[in-house]
Amino acid sequence: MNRRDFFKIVTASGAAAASGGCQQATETILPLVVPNEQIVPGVASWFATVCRECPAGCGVIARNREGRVVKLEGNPDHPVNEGALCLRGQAALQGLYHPDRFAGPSVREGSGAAKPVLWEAAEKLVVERIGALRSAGKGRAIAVVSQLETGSLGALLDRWTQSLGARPRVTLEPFGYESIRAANRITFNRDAIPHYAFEDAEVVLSFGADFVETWLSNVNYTRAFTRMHSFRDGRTGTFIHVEPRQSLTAANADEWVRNAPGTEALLALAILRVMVDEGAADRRFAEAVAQVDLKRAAEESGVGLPTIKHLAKVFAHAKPGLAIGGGVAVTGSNATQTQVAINLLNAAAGNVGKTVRFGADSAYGKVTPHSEVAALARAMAAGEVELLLIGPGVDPAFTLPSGLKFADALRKVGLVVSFSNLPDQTTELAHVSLPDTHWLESWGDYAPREGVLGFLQPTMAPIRDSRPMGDTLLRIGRAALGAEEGKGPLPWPTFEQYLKAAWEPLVKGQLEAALRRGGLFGDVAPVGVTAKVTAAEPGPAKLEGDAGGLTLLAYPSLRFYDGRSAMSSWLQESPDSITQAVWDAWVEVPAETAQKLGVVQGDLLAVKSPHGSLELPAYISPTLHPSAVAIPIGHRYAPYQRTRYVAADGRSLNPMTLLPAASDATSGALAFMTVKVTLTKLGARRPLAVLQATHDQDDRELARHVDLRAAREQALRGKGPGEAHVTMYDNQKYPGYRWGMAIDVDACVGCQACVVACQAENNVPVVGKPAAAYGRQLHWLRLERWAEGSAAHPQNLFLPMLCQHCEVAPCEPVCPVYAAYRTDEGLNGQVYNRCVGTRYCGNNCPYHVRRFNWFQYEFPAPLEVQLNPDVTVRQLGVMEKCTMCIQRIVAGKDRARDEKRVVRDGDIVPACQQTCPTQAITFGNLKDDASEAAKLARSPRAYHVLDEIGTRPSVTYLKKVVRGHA
Amino acid sequence: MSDSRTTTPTFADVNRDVLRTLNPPGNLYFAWMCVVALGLAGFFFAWAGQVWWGMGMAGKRVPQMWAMYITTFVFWIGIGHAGTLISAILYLFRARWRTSIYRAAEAMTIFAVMTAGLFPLIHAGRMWFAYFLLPYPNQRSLWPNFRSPLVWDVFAISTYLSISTVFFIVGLVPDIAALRDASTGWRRRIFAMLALGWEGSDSQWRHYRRAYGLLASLATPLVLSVHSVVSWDFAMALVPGWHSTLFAPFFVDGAIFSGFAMVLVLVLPMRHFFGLHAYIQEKHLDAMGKLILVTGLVLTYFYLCEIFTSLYSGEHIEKASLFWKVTQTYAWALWTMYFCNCIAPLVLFWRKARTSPVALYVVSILVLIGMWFERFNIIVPSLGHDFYPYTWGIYYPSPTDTAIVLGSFAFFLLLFLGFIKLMPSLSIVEVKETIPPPMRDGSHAH
Repeated sequence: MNRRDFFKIVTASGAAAASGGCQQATETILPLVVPNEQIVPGVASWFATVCRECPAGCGVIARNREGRVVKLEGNPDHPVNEGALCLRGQAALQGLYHPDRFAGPSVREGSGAAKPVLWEAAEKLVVERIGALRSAGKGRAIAVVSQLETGSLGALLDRWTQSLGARPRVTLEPFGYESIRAANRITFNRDAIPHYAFEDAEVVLSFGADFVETWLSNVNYTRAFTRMHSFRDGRTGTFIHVEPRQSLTAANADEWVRNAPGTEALLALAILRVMVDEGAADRRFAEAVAQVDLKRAAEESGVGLPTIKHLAKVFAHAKPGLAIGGGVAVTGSNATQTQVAINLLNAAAGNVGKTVRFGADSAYGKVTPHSEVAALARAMAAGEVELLLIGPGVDPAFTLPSGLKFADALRKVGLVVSFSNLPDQTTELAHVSLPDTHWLESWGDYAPREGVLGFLQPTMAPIRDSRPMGDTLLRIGRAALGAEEGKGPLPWPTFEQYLKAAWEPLVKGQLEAALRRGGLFGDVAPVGVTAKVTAAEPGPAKLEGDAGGLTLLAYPSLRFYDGRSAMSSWLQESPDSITQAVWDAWVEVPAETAQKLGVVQGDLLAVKSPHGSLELPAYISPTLHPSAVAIPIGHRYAPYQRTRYVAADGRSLNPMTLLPAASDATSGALAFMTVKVTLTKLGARRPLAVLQATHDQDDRELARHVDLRAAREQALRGKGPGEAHVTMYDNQKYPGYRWGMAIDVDACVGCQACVVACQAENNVPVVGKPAAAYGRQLHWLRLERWAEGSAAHPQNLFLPMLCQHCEVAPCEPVCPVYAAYRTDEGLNGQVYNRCVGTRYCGNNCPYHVRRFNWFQYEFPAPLEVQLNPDVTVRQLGVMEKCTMCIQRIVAGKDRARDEKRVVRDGDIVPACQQTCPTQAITFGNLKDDASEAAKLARSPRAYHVLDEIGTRPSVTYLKKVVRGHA
Repeated sequence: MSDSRTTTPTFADVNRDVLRTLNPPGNLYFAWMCVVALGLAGFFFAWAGQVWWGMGMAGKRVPQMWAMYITTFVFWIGIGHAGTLISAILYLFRARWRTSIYRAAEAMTIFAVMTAGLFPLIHAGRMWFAYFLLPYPNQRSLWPNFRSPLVWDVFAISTYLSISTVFFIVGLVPDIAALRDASTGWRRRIFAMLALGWEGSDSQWRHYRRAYGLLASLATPLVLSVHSVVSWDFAMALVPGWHSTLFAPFFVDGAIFSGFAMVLVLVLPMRHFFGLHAYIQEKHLDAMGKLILVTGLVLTYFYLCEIFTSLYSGEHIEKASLFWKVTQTYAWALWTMYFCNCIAPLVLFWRKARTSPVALYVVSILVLIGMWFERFNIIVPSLGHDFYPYTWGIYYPSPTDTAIVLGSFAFFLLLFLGFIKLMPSLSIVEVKETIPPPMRDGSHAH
């Protein structure tokens, strides 16, 4: 504190004590002198584009207010995500407005700091280098690495490399699913990743495929999974998941089978063997399982023989079923064998063509094989690469295993040019930075699967001095070739023109309509395939390292993917649904090992492999397979280069530093499950910030479930008469609407998308690790995980908890100033301006969903640009909570009034409901018996949380239906 | 001084002994004032920091949105009960032993309520808008919420403070007249103003007695109402461990209990340092000891009731809350409370302990500690383990809360130490009433 601050405090507190008037944060309003004609103040414009936070390529519509994008939503017309968006998509705005975004091009000389330069100067450096290399006949010393670009940018990059004689472009995706491709080559003679039609399956049997988190296209498959799985009119599907770790996907399974890591192939073949033996599969598959010994399979996998037989029975009887494989456990040395076994399962059960559909193949099929990435790294290390261009979205120094020594190889490259617009581990080593525009500021296109081509268009003007990578490359390419604009192999002045030329034959003059829709969406004729039965050798995965060690499961994180989303403070503070930990990374240790080591949660452990070591706090897991430890991939310390939110000591949190350059023997895919590690207790502690105090409901029935049989019976006959609410008072009258919500606990998979959407919509600040650990997080909506049954094998229930807008709200009568009050539309209002901050309401809310502004929270510039202008930014000292998106309710009512009608379902969609991939949340008018929310509120599965207190919430929950096949 | 220990003082002795307490203070007094100044400095710095940076400076969190501030608030309100009880209720019951202590007790009451009154301000997230709680006329016709116990608090406490203050000032008038008569210069002019022209005439005494009696009857119900209202801050809320009809009598009894302990903590040193043994005699100490014992036993009964209702309710959540309090993180605070409030006062069954200043002093301090922890145990552990397991948590005091809580004791001591040097801390008038009036021959009437 300096002298000025001191005086400020003294005078401010003195003045406050004397006059009782102390307003913080004086703000100045500036008039817009020359208004932009296209911008109507107060009216949002929406632009359709494509989310590029991962290769799934979901459609996005961006809400632009006064020239700046303030919110992203899923594009309802896009076939991949159908309006939903995951948390990473929601948080993409934080990349756009990231405080650390490069202000402009820069050049780094030697190992010094990067110096800002003019675009021309920076480009000249690259052009000169290209010229020098080409004239020396070393065109092959130029290499380009990009993320998965399936559309025009990819084509342009290829054209660029060809015309300059450079090495073929490398498309780098750490999670490339090459083993699926390789297995499909073997079984179906088709090098592709098919579309999996979850919605048509009765039984999904997953071998580690974490489709709720990251697998292939998480929103698409989660949504399809809900269609297949959710309880509707007595019908429901079954989901069985085989994985050594209880991932979020496993937690959603009707039956989670915990196997020993690396034994998936064995299990799949054992299941096939049972099917063959019992006549449930064609005899021609007998050849494949001839060598399978069921007893050995049961022994090695740790899954009992009865369970294997039961799985086989359930799977074989499904009409149709679907077997899928993925996740870290099937990226070991035997990954392709596992996938082949899964292919055989699908083929034997007759699922191919029904639920496994070739034709609409995934974009992942176009990822450059890992062997070529490894070859590039070797070439770089050997000094054969003298100019390396690295596109945005890839951070090989972080995402590749340390055994590959990519960072060291990078140091050997004469000139490294980075197009990333945010600092990361790779840009640290780059010499020239030519920041690309963020995808929300860019033109482009992306085909997530055959038949779907999403169009990207700028949703706002760039906020930094960045230029589209395509533009920059066109200019550099022409200059290097000595060609003028309009001539040579790269004639287009800008990438936008290149793109529109490429689109013209596709859109046939209907460009605007296509842009509005978000792209060109069509169906692809299915391609028939026949399965070739090959004898599979069910060997376990090979592991190096200490034989007595534990198998390391380094798994992609739902929140950060491969690390490219870790820059978002929203994601850092939205908890991992299983552990409920925020900010820091952890090593998940099986309870047995923890006991042996004398480790409790938060104790620092040294994780050592032959390739490196990591220090991480322990998370004790009662569910993890005793022979494994798990570390999420993608964690970085601080989202900003400032220590405000978390004490960053710069040490690595990245499990890739433990991994060798190993690959799956057959496919050459990068293998994540390849080492055994040893754990050593360090003695120090770094407690995790875990938001949920306990996963035990203590018999309070917050999240409830009902047996499938009972649910079916109730669905048929209706629920018996419940206890009527007894009161001495008249029921509240609702002159107009009565807003309410229904949340289906059966549908909710705990993906946290709603949590981040709420944060984005309602200007909810982040508080940082220490404050979050101390119960001061500000989320208006939180996602709770409740575990029932045995600790090692719990039944998980995910409960989104938000303000219940109680009819008899405990918070209202205790507020001395009517800041908390009841509206005549059934909402529980909160007047920030009136709030004195006695926090009585916060104590008296049995759900503890009220949030207090302990400090004046800041939005580091330019993140404040993202703030929703329709929602107040709260001052220190006031209470806040879920408003059911009151701003959307007002807008919806206005629109209905303009059209001289009453509000209907769909007019008002709160941010949480809008983004939910499983459509677990339904908002509506409870007074209207025909509204969806009112119908759900009358469901036999409906209940209210803590209803025995008599708060009469407006939020109704629907019990989870427990299938209980085990 | 030694003679006043043994012989009955005369009217002149009373005047002399009481006025002597107003002599210029000694080194010990200044040493105490230095401690007070330190505490106050910490108090104001901590408060300023909290206003500037936000309520997060204090250790509060979800679920303990209330913690040490409300604990200490209720503690001081409780302390503020003994004074009015002694001056009003015991006056109406003609308990003559009150005379020598009631002035100090009344002063303590007012200062304690003033100290307590700081806490709602300190506690509010935006204390600069605390006036929203007052029903002042405004253009938007905004009114406080009369259903909120916090608004009841505002009225109960402000009423209590004003009535106690008036009562206190009225009681002081004849004594200030005595001071006026004994002093010279500017002091005399100030005392003359405060004495309101008191001459001690028969008609003045008649009016004075009537006014005093009326005020006493007015103040009496307040003794019961204020802490009942404060208890409703909790009882009206849903929190398990708060939601109980037991709270009003429970709090009133606890308040009297702690109030008497505080009176002893203040009066015993005064008796010692000012040599007031002739006025504050063993029988006074004995009576106070008995009151502490009785209120302590009643409190123990309430504790048992609290546990019993919780167990008998069959409410899972109530029981879980109780078991958690008794056995988990905050169990030490609970057992400290039981020891201080239930076990320690039992020594007062012995007359020896009741008349021994040291024993009384130790018990009183323990009672004060116990009663502070009682409020802590009601607030912090109850909130820490309430309805919703997701948010269960442990509260850790921060330097800010701690400095403010300790500073409140400094604030109280500042007022009280100032008072004993500015005003007669024994009622000259009432003490004289209890001793035989002087006869013309110099002897005492018997």
